[in-house]
Amino acid sequence: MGKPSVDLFQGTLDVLILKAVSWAPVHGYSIARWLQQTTDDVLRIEEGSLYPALHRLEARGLIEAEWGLSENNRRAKFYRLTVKGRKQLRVEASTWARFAGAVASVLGATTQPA
Amino acid sequence: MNTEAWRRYLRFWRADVEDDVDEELRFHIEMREGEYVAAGLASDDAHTEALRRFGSLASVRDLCYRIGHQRERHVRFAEVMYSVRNDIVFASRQLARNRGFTMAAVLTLALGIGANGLVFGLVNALLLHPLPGVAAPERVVAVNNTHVSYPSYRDFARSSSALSGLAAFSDRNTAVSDGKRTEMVSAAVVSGNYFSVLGVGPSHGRVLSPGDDDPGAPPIAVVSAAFARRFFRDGVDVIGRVVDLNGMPVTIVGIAANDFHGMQLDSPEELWVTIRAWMALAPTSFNGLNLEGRGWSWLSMVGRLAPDATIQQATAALHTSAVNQDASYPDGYQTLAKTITSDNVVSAGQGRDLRNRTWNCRTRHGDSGCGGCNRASHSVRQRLQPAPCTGDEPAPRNRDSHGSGRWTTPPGPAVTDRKRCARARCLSRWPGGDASRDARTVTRNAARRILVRHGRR
Repeated sequence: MGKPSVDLFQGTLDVLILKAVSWAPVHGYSIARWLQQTTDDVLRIEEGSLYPALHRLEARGLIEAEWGLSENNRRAKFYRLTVKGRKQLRVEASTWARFAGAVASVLGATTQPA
Repeated sequence: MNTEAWRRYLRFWRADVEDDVDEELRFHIEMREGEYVAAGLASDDAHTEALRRFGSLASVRDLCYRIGHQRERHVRFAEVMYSVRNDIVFASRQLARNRGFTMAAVLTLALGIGANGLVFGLVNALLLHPLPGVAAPERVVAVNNTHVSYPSYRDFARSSSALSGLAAFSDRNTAVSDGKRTEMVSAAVVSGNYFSVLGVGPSHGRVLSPGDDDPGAPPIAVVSAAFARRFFRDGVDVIGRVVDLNGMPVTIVGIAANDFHGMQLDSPEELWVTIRAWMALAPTSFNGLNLEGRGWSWLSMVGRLAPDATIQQATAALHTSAVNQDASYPDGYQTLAKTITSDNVVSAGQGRDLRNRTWNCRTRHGDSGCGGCNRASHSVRQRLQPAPCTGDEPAPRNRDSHGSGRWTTPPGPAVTDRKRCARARCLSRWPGGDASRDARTVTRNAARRILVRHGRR
């Protein structure tokens, strides 16, 4: 802890979730842990906000859910990406890459504004 | 079945939103708790920390419930639409495969719907909305199957104490023109008290009044609201406009109340002029027919019962007047007392003049033996009322069963009904025809001449 945390932009959580479920079916808790580990807990996502976002994505048809057994043999709801969700992920990932690149090139600039 | 029971029934195959959300969130918190316990926290502390990390459990749960229910509704709607679509596609294929059955089914439905619509239209017009626009239609009395002359009508109007008013009317098809466009309308020639007897007021301007019957009164007309809208597209300043009625100028003084369209079921009246104005306007059409003569029976009568008077009293009063008139004018063409009876004096607000209509059909298609007579022959029959009595005519040879006028035949070989009908049709094809001819003059040769003149033969 002790690191500075970053507030998420509106809609950013959606693309993070889409990425998290893009490999294999996962449940909400493992998405939360994966986000925590991958971002080194910089984003400090409030775990509760994950579920409404998951359910909205499910309602939009970007992910689909089914009940299965977790690694410790408990019933859990597993989410996986749909074809539509995969397209959406591709679009949003490239948008983010352009956005981040633009911000990075501004911040890495070596010449001052005229 | 209440909502809860319905939901329980659904749960056999459909997810329960609340249960699913609760279980999913519980799983998350317990997993996080287990992680903290494994890291060495006490069970209670682990639970507290897991909840803190999760955020507001209640609000997340409510939000998830809401999203879940919304999704359920969408899914259910989509399922219903999908199955409806499948049913329609399946039904269409089945129908396309069995063409004969489809035709029969469609015809049956079409006829059934058509017949129902017709019957409802009749019931609506006759029973539910008798005489639209007329005040207290149950107090309105129509004298069916009887046409009377103008002086005869005035005698009836004077003598009927059981009626608060008796009006006369006659339907005429009339050409109306404003200089730019011309239209045939179903007009009614009426006595000045027509509107007051029926209790119909104006929606704009004024309606006709008894004063408009005075000799020398200016030629004026009242039009229906529907006609005013249709004929005068701009719909403004209809009052005071001068239109040509059969070529003669009349001034429109008012628009009748919106839903009023006269006494006829099948041809709504759209324009009303007074009897006096009509005679002044169209003298050629009535060449030889004298308004004050008793031989020309052309007016129908409608009255309003006086307060506390019954229809029986009104019938008795009218019948007495008819008997008196028959006695005073023995050479008249009608025996009025025969037709002014309780059979023909009926409440117009109940059942309308259905019997009149039945009578028309019988006369046209049954008694006359002339299946080909069309509607035009009816108006011709009206036009062919006998000429004014001059006293030197041969005694009538043939009097029709209803007594409201008669066909007379020239001396000589018998002329069949069929031939007379054919001649009447000739006249009906002859616009602006010489209405002064009565049936006696419509000989075979005259009919032929008319057709030759109009290039029809």
